[in-house]
Amino acid sequence: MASNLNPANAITASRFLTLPPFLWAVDHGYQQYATLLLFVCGILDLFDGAAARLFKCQTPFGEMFDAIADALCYGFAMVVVTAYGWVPWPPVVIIVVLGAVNMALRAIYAKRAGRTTNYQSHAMERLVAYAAYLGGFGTARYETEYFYWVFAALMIVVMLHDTKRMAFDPIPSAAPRSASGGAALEAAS
Amino acid sequence: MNNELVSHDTYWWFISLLTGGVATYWIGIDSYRLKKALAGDRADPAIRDRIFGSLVGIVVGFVGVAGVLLHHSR
Repeated sequence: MASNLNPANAITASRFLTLPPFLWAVDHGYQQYATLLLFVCGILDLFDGAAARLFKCQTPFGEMFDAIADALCYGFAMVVVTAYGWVPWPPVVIIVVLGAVNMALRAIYAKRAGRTTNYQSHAMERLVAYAAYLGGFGTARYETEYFYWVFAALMIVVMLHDTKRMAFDPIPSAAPRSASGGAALEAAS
Repeated sequence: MNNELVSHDTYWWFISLLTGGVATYWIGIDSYRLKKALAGDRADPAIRDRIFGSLVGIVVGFVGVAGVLLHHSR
């Protein structure tokens, strides 16, 4: 199994460095700089997966770390633009609450599985990418009512589906470990 | 410090093109993935997850395209 100190996890960790300047940019009303920082965070999100495959350093911790970084970075951006009144707050409350429920369900799933594992929700992966855009729509003040309310509605639907899968459905057993650990990760999801 | 990196029009066109482009790509790639998943064993929960995920992806794509059209129709 690859070490958790690897290039992919370093890229994931570097995403957090965009958050303080993002807050600074929003606080000063620098919309375009805020959008640019979110864009950089999103690009790094694409690269960490590619780096994991390139350097063969995929680990269960890395998968969890990536999911946590997604929630924290995009959640932070959403909360900040809401706090500064750039987007409507009711759908954001729904999204943040459901995001917390999602993280709790993943912890329940890992406990049920009896190992470090991340439930791979294909639907939630799409919503995470959409969530990355929400911050950008917020900083650009671009059809915020439309995009935020639609996202909240979609998240309710996906959460209903994933709750059943994570909390109630049988959990597939892990495959025998390979050198890279990639096969185990696939089977665990 | 100047607030703007580019003109406001350029900035909004960049958002529109990025959103519309990625949304269109998403509709295409998830339609392909949906077709592949539908050819699999639908009794398998993993296949059903992929079908649902692709459907959500296609919906998100149309949401993106509709949002861009809505913005430019105002």
